[in-house]
Amino acid sequence: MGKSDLPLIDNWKTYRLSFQKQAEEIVADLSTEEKISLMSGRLTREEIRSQILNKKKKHYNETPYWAGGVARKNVMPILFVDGSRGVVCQRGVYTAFPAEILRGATFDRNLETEIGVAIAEEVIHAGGNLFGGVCVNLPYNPGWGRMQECYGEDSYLLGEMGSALIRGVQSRGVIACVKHYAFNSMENNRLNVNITCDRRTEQEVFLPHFKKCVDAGAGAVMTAYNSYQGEMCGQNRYLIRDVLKGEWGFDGFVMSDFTWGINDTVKAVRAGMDVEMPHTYCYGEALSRAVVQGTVEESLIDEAAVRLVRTLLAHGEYIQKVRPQVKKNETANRKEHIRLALQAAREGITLLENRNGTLPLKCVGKGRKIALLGLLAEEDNLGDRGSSCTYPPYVVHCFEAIWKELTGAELIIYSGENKSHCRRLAREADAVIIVAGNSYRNEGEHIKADETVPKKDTYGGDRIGGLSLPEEQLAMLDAVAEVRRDAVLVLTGGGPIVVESVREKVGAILMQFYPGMEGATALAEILFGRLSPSGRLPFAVPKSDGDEARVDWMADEQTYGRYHGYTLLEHNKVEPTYPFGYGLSYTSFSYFDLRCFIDGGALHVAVTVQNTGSMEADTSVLLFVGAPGVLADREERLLKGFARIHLKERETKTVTMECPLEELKYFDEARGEMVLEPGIYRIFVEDLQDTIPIS
Amino acid sequence: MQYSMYETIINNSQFPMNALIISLDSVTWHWHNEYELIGILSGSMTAKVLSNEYVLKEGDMLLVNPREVHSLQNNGGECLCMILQLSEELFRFADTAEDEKEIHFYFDTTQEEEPDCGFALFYYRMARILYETLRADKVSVFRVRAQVCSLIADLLEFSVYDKRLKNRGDRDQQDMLIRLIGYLENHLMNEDILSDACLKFGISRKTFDRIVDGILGISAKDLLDNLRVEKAKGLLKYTTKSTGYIMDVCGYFSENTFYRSFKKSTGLTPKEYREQIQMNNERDELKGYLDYETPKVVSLLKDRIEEWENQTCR
Repeated sequence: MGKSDLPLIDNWKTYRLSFQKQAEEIVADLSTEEKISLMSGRLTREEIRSQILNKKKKHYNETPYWAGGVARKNVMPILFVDGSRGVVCQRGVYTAFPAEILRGATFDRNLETEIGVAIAEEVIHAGGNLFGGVCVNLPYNPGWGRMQECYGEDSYLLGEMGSALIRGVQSRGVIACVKHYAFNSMENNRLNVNITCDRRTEQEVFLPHFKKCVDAGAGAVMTAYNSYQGEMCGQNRYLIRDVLKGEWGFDGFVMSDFTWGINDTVKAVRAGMDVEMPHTYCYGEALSRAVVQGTVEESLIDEAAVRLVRTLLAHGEYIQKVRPQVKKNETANRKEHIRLALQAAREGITLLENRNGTLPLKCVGKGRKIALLGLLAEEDNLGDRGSSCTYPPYVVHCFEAIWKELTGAELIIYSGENKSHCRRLAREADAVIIVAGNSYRNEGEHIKADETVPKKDTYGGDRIGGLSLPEEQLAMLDAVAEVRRDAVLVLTGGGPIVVESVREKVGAILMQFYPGMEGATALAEILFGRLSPSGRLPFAVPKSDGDEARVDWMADEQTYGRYHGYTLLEHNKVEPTYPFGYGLSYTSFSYFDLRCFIDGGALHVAVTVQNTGSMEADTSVLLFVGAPGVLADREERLLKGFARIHLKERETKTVTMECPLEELKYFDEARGEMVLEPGIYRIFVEDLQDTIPIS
Repeated sequence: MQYSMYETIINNSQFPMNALIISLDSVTWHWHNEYELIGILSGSMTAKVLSNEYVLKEGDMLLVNPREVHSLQNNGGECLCMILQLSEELFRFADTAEDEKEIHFYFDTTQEEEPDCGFALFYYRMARILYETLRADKVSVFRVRAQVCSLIADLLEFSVYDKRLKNRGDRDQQDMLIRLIGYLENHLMNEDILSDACLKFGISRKTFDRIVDGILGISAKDLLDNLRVEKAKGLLKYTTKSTGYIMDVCGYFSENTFYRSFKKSTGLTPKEYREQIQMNNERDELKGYLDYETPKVVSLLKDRIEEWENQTCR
């Protein structure tokens, strides 16, 4: 779609605030009831519950969910479209992108922005105006069931990729809604758990990426179900009024997570909760009564109403301009969106192991046999089946994509259940590919069984069984390994899978995450060497579960510490199986000439990269910075920059990365503010290292 | 006797399956589009499926997948087999994407891939189906269908199978082999039959060998020998033609060759073979699958069914 004829808005906050006067005028003319009606969803409780359980042949969010709006004043309602890996609405219409965790592995901001644009066009097509799929929760422990919905375990990465998505989404006028604010890194007990952490951890680890998303202009924020420091996030005055709207100057509106996000009218309004979603329970009549009784000041209602009207006017007007073009270019757009979904999978699938050049596979052609083992090889592997479940027109399955690449070889597809048969196939086949890992059944949003529907088991949730592969999959791997040790293991999942005990039993390991509707196409391209893998892990894979931060998934009280994931492993000097940012290629790169300097309040780092192998390929260059750690205990190193490049054979490029010094600060608890520690900082880029003094 | 059969299931167009009990003599290389489940009621036989050989005895079972070239051979003595031929469409999942995948079972009592529930259940189901078929009363058609559906469900749930995507080329090769076998059968008297076949189908002798070896694991020459012996056996058994005549129409150009290859395959000279058959068997049947005396079979099946039911009741 041509952007030229639309005003380009680089600062949505400024743009929205320019509607302040207009919004105030409208609100001044509204009755209290009308203002209150702006503040809640219009679904009934039964509608939402039955849709979540898929009972009425209508899936969750099949059409956008309405909230607020004043027709007589031309203020459009919020038209909520959920997602995270694409638009949830309809069936067989919208694109299923790879899960964010894969998109995190691309380390490609531009692609994420393009995906944001594509999603926004589909939101508009679906009749929506708000995309509720910018999920930037930081997994404290990677067993968190919804880790797949975020970009990885690093705050910088979450902030950068989240901002990139927001920029894309809002470039079409669609309101980007950031969630789940905050500390929502446990699933099974998310409605009950109270999170505590110290100020420093809060400021350095769990909030910066939310702030970055707000700075990128996000127009809405959804709160989390869990409590923080004893108060539900949805009615947590400190988080909403003090930090988000106060310190960060957030100008958009805040909505509750669905149904159970708030439970106290007065507390919620006072805390700054603007919209109860997706139906009225605490707000509506209850809120009217509270205003009449004087327990809620009308000024608070006015404040929320102005925020809502201001935001909806600004975005609504823009969407009006965009809509005709979106409609006009529908077919071409859809094709382009699917191409983006494929591109993301190509960039994110990560090669973890490749002994003796097992990959790419060479055994194609007549007379050859490829055995494809594992139940997951024939399933839709889009990710969990919670609120981000998408319903794309098609999903390319692993076996289909592999079959296309085989040019005459026979493909044998087997579930892997019978060990003898695994051994037989391992003997007969020229190559063995095993698809293993997780699915919506054992990780994802926690959907409780409905007793009234037979055969509907509870699914999703945290990985309470641990981070390893399930027993039956290990048995399948063992059976094959008895015969040969050159099988290719393709891992599916939204987080680290502990493979320390299996890595020696196979020839290669590819992490495909949840690669979206075209993910298998990319996987097959990589398996057979049309394309070099180029993803890098957005998390560390530990040798054992116990190396990660401790979480009791069913606890009602949980403390998050500052060290988690790779920072914890490095702090404890525990070797992981694969460190954060790990990822192999079919070619080789050499890095040299690392330079760094401080200029304009930012750290600048340049490095030269050469493709020294025999295949053109993408790679991402990651910059880590280690603080002096004299004034305070600091992480060994933290991700502070990244850039993705494409290099032809023998080609050399110089990459520059910029990191504002703000990013290097730590929270000084005594002074209660972020402080830049003077001293010698260590700079790490791949195998290169340098130091730079910062005062 | 026919040497190769392209068996189609004709007796039940609404429910594409075929159930029969045979007293097996021998059935040479053939193939069909149906799954064929074989269960041995008594005696012993050797089944060759592609390049694999299975010796089956009483109580054993074997499932031959569609389009797999196979042959069956009695190992001496009477061999009663239950045969169930099931159309592929009966196995289709509702999921249309499955259509191009062939479901390939590994179901035979002589290998290690045992169904989760064991083989006995399948043996029972098979006996039950045959029993109901033979009863042939008003409701048996429904009972048969119910049993067949249960059998298929059990196969899909408990037995080992994989799914195969094959290149068109592999199928073409199989089709070619079938056409070659057909040609050979009709031209056995030709001395230069192999090179004639190559000429006729426009393939080299090397390709011919490769196709036969690739699918059956034997040489083209062995295949030809096999077909010649089978034809000779049929003629010896069902006609009174002289051995000289039989030798000629089967394409043996010296008595020595005929005797040698016949003895190698059957353990008997042609003359001994004919005498034995005539002694043992007064009945003149024109099929390799011989009909069997029904009352005897019914009581045999009933025993098997009761055995299972008693066992499971306990």
